[in-house]
Amino acid sequence: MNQQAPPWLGEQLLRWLRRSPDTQYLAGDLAEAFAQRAAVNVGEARRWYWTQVLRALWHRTPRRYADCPLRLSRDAADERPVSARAAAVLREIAGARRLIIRRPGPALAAVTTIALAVTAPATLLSVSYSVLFRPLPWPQADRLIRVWETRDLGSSVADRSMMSATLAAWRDGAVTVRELAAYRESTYTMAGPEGVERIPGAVVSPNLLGMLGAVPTLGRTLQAGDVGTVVISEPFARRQFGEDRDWLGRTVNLDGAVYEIVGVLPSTFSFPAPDSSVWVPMDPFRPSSLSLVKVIGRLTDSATPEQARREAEARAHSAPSVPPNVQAMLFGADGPARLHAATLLDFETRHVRPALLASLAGMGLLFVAALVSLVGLQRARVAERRHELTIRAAMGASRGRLSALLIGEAIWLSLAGGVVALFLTRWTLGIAPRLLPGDFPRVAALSFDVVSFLAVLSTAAVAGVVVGVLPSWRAVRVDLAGSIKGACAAWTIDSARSSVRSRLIVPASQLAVAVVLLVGAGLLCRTLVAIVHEDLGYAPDNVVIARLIGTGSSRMRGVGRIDADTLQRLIARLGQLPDVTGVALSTALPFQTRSGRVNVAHTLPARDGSGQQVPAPASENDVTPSFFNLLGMRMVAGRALTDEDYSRSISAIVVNRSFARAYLSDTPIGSIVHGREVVGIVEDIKDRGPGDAVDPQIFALYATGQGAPLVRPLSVFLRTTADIDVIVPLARNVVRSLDDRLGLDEVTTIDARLSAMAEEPRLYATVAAASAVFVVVVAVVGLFGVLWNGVANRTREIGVRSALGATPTRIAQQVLREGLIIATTGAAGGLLAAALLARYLASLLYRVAPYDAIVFTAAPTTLLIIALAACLIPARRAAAIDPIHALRTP
Amino acid sequence: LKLLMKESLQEFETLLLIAIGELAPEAYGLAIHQHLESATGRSLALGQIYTGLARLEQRGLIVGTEGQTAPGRAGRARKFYRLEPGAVRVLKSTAAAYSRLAHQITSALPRFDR
Repeated sequence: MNQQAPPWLGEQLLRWLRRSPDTQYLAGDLAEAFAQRAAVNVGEARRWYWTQVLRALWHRTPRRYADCPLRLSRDAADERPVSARAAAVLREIAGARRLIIRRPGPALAAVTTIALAVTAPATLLSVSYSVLFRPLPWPQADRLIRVWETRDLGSSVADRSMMSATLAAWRDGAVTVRELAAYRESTYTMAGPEGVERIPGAVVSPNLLGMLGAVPTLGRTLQAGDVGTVVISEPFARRQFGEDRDWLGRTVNLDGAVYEIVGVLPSTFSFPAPDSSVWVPMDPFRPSSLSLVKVIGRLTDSATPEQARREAEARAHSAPSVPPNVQAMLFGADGPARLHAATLLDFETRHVRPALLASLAGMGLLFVAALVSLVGLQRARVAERRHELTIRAAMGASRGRLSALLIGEAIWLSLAGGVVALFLTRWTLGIAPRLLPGDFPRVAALSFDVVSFLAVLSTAAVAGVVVGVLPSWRAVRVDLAGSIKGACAAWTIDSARSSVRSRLIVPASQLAVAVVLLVGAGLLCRTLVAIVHEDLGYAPDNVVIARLIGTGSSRMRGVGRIDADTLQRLIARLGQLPDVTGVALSTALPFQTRSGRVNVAHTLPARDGSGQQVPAPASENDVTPSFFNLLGMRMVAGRALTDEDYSRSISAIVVNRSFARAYLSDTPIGSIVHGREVVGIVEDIKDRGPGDAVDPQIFALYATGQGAPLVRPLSVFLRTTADIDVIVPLARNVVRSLDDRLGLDEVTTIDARLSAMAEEPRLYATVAAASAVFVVVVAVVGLFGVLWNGVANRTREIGVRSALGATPTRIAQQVLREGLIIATTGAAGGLLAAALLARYLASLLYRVAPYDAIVFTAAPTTLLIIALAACLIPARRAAAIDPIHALRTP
Repeated sequence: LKLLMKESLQEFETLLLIAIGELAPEAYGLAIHQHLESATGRSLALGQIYTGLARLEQRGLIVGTEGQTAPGRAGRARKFYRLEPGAVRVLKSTAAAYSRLAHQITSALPRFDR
């Protein structure tokens, strides 16, 4: 028999248009029947086939049977095999998606809340994990400890270091540690291809690199007995010597000493600083040496940091004694040595651990608050559908089926929220490194990784389960008896029981928390604004600052020796650069605490005219005359310094307003201060940034004329409209062409420095604002859920009232009033709490009072407006209830 | 009457169950279709058969299992159906309902003749 294939198009039509699970069997049957009929009459078979296809398109098998006219009792349904029941549950879950799409409004609110509720903890969990728990990148990093030494009561200048004598005493015969290594951070000055630069590095005991698992890409690491050798990093090698990998055996000149390169480490190795580039050997174990070193040890497999600490302390007491005055100098006090030990991970994260753990706990509370809101919202959605659910229950739908429907809905919602949260978390983790302060540990390791993915997944799962299970557990308690008597009865009783708790207290307390956070965020944001817009007394924009450095003088961090002529030519040549409108030199580099300022303790005649000499502490800053104009400083009286002042017989100085107010008479111009004449008074400047307490300051002429050895650091100021990336290479060229032992270091703009100083307040403000937004959304969604639930539960009551003549406006007003009562209660409680808590923020505030009237008004007002907007939707719904419909439905 | 409907089946569904019972274990879509067409003398849509089958299956009265393919089916499997215990009970209660109905009719008819 020649088999006839059925018309291709017919099969495709079935496949496209009749998407039921049984279509494949149907098509198979049709093909079989067609083959049988075609054997008799092809044309008839074709006609029959097409008729069947079209009728099959009409008789579609629905995927769900919610509208099935006849339903079996529960007993019969339960006789089905488990697989069939499971399949039914899965179908419910799939079907729940359509319910969501049918009412997108509340679903959207739920998805947004879930997305926020998941993103915030997931981000924090990822950050906490990668900062606090992810192992450090060294082999067996959990066995590495950091050990340091202090004295009782002493405020130590030794920054968590140890005397090498103590180290040596411990090392011989130590049983708790396998190995001890020491290092000291250091910065070297060297002549590079772009002029003199400063290279971050470390002096290390030779075993340190091996202990941290450094594998050189070229050569070797350091060995015991190495002298005059250095290991360098690969990026440094490329920059200095180019791409030819003939780096081994070459020499580098660091701080005027010559070192031979014996090894190159890959860029992945970074210790102690992320940008450490050179490692110079030292021998820290000589008992005689008096140096301070930082110590890392590798514990034996069984030892704990505490055991190591006790061993080290015991040994320290047998170490050769150090003169008490030296001890006092190093540790701030004399006395028996105290040792401290912590795992390297704990040590590196010690500053941020409490803060991160505290914010994790806080975030946990916020997460719970968000879940409460979501449960409320979901309950409202369930209440809205109670009629449908009751009917389904009456028709024999099992509790499992109804739960499946509601849980299915929660699964879809949390899935959607989770996907949004995935993107949001990626984004927040992406901007986190820029947001966090520069000294935040391990910030470079932050990224969206498996852990973040799991964090999102698990929090979304928790949200899904809680949001799905709790409301459905209540919902399916609708029993058949209750539903036969009247569906509402069971529901209203259920919700009335918990009405006070859930309808007032929960949303009101959420709103209160929202107000507290809004107030906090408002205060911190105003602080940030105050800092950014602070009048510093000078014009900080378009000023490039840099430190002038020279080789062979790293200890002084200044220009070792530079003759007057070179300086004059430097100023002139820098001034000729394109787009440079001003050049000045100053011995004080702005924004460095105390550094470069010389504090002078003159005595001045007392202002009361008694002729007594009183001390007049002030700081002195030597500048070139162009300094005042370049920084845009404002003269209060007199004049600025000029070039002519160089040739005056009596030295001229300018003092700031604080100095004049503190020490000078009412006619300050012409006063003589320590043999120098005050020619002008300048407005106070905050050259250490906003928030700086201005102290009395003297500006004297920078003595370019003398050409003496200079031990004070020297800063170069350039006012330029050019981009820093353009002007800096040019400026470096100028410096190098004058003297190849000179270079520019710490090049930046004042703007950048100011922005870096605002880093911390910016972080506080951002975190506070983000939490506030989060809590406001959560609280408002909670309020919305409660009102919506209330309206849905009282449909009948509202119907009765409206039938008795209440206008839609009045009904809407009633809902609005209820919402407003909750919102104002919450806002008032929040204001009270904020007032109690605000003073704890005081230390973080700047130029904003803890009880700032604007913030304390704006925060509750904003929240009330948002809350009112959220109340409008349920109110409108209540007003729209049709009395006839409401009364007819049970 | 409502009580009667609750535990009983519509006519078409009853016929499907009977067909499956008679054809078992060879009861698959086309076989049932041909059996019903010859039994009722009506032209039926195969899609209608499948809709009914799916409804019965969903209510746990019948169970379908995928079988082998056969020549002429373009490689598609047959799905064989068999009755579940619940089906027999439902058929019994349907029969009882119909006989009650028949009894009502027969007892009522003489009154209409007058």
